[in-house]
Amino acid sequence: MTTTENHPTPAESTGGDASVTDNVVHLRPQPAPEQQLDADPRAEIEVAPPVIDAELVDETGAGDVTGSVTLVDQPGGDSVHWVRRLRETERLPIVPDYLKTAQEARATAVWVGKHYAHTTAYHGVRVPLYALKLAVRSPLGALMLAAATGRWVLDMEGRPVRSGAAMRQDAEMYLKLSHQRDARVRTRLIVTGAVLVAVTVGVIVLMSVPDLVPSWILWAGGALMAAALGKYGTPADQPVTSRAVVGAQLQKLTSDVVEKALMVLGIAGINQAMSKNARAIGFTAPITRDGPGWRAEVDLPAGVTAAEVLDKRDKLASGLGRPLGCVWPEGRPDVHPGRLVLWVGDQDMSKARQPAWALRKGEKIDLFKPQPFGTDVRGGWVSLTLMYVAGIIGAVPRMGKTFTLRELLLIAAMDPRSELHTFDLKGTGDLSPLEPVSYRYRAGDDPEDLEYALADLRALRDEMRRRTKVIRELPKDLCPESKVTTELASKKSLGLHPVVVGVDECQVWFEHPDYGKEFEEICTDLVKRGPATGIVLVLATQRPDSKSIPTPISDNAILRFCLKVAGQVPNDMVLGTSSYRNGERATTFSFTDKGIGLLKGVTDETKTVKCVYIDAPSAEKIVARCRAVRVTAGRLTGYAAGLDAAVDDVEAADTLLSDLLNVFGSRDKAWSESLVDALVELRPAAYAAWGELSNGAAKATQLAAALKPFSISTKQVWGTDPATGKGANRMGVERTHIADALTERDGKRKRG
Amino acid sequence: MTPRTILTFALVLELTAVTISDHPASGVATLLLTLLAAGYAWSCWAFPFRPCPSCKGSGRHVSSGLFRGVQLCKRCKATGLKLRRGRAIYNALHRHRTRTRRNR
Ligand SMILES: [Zn+2]
Repeated sequence: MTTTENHPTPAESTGGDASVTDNVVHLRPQPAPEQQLDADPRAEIEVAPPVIDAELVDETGAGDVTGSVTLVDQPGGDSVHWVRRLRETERLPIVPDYLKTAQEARATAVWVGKHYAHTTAYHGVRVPLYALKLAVRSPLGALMLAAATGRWVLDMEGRPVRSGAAMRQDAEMYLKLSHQRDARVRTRLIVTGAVLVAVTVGVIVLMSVPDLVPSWILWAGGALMAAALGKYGTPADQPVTSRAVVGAQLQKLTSDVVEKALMVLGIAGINQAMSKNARAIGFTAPITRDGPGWRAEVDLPAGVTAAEVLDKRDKLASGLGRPLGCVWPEGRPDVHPGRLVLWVGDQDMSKARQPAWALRKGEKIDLFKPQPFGTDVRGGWVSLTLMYVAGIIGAVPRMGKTFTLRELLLIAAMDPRSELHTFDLKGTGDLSPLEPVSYRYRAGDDPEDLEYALADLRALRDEMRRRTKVIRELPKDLCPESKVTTELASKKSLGLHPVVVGVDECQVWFEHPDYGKEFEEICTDLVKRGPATGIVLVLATQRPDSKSIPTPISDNAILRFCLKVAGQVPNDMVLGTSSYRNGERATTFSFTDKGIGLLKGVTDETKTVKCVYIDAPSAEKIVARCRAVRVTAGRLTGYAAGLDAAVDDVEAADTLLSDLLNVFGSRDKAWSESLVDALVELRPAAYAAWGELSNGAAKATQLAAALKPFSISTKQVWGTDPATGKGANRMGVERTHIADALTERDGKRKRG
Repeated sequence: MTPRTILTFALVLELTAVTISDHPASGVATLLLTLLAAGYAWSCWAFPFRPCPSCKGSGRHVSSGLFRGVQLCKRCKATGLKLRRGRAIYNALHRHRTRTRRNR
């Protein structure tokens, strides 16, 4: 079956069936066909090509059908208005993708150049071999040429006709044909003789007169002739030149192949339906090229669901005779459960070259906009917006789970406003490239690491409460949807910058005997309420079950990325309840599908996505760039700025010294009032009261009082008023004093 | 040259060889006969027609009367050609074969 057809309805299946249906129509009075039309709701939708109608009528014997028969498929083209048809068309890009950017165009040009350079070099090296082959084959070529000439002279191509005349005992015709043959042979003999004589004379002359033409021309002519004869004597299946490049296996996907592959799956529903009706598998669209592969849209026989096929992806690949990484069946539950979209790639997804990642330079981005995360099976980029989500990543070990988390955190780091809380509970240092930009960072699962994390989470919950309050109090025109926007996040004074918490091997937290409950409680809260306030929590685990990712968290997560998992339970834990039943099965990935997983929740439909492979050195390079951007923007804070919180420090909420050092920046001394202003902007929650002070003097007094416990005194400092631009002496602080006090305090802590 | 013809040919050759070694006289006769048959087969292939025996290949009969009237040969319909008997047998066999094949 190579033609395309719409859904096979009962009426347009095989001729046998159709005639049976028609018989029923004839026995009953007129309304029968109408009923049939109503009985199958799909029949109205589909518009089969008119040819099929004609066939249907013919097969069922149009002769004896008199009167009016209502056809299921009405004749005529599609009756959709042309404007609507135009609207539904897809506009193809004017400039092809590979020429869109100067960089892509350059890359393409370089690639094409390299390709031809390779081909030239390959054949250049083999020229002697080719010459030898031609020389060996030239005698055979000469013989074949002689034979062909003989056949031509004797008019052998006319022989079958003459033989036919003899067969029919048609002597008259034979006589005519013989005369014709005789005439032909005569002229051809003359021509051949003349050519032979000319050649012989020419050769004799050239041989006997030595200096008529330069000898190299003779040699070249001889070589050319030998080469031509060798080429003539070359069998079609043993070409002289070998292939410099092996073309990709662009084997066409046909409906026959798809049908056969579906039938070897051993699904009873398919095989039974196919044995009754050879066209039980319907193709709803022509099999077309779609990206670097073929796409077939299939309607499975009634009663068979796409999920059954998805489960047997490996068998399907075997049936199609392609590598497993090329075969990507997808269900379309939104159409109906029996709809299967089969995409067969030219190349194994795990081996196909991924196009360059747009973010590989680490330049500044906006986290509130979609950013490229990975490529789908067709090689197109899949983007996701990291804001307003809470994510879960799950996989069996060594499948690229940590790399995926690292990629997400790298994307987060590229927005200089974001505050990264990085927790590597495996402790292998896979997330260590992120250290230079992290606000909080710990690798390991020692008790103090967990206490540090818990303290951070408590602070985060307080921060989330503060943020909810800030958002609630904002005027509606600034914050129409009651959630953080990119404009709000940019305002330092509001403190609504993105907070991204990344946790690898999160089960360590939730399974902790003492803190587990509290971790779970806070994380649940962050997953539920965090996204709207700009706090993003991404959890990764290698054992996704109800213990490692508590059910309230997995139920409320939005971004879900599931690499290879072992069974239905972990699959549903990561992708959400009943996703396995709906055909979203990460269990079908093979162990070579590293970094390939099902992405759900952030794109329109669940997609198979291969994330970007960023090795540690590249990650470090990206982070170095991010750090530079942050330093320029004055956004380097926390751990990365050398201002990490000690565990009890967070509990005491005493961060004045580190905050001060932070707002000092590169200055050596500063006015107290400007320091206070900066503090308020840095941590509006903590220093809200200070911000309400009326004038500079009051602020200076407040700071002096606050610094007294650290035995730091304020004094007159020369500075410039940013408002007026005039220089003046006002109360201020020296940076060295603060730094000294901080080191002294830290030293005490360590000893204690 | 189908494998079957080759086989037949080989069989005939072997038979001839055996006969020659056993009874030289009859062997030579067989060889001659085989050669003759081969020659006839070749002529059936290369020249399927032979001159009409009735008009000696001229296609007409010249009466020996006073007016030397010319009459077209009815046997060969004035072509002067007649299908060789061997070729006729081959044609019949061939037709039979194609017919049975079609009916299979
Ligand atoms: Zn005759």
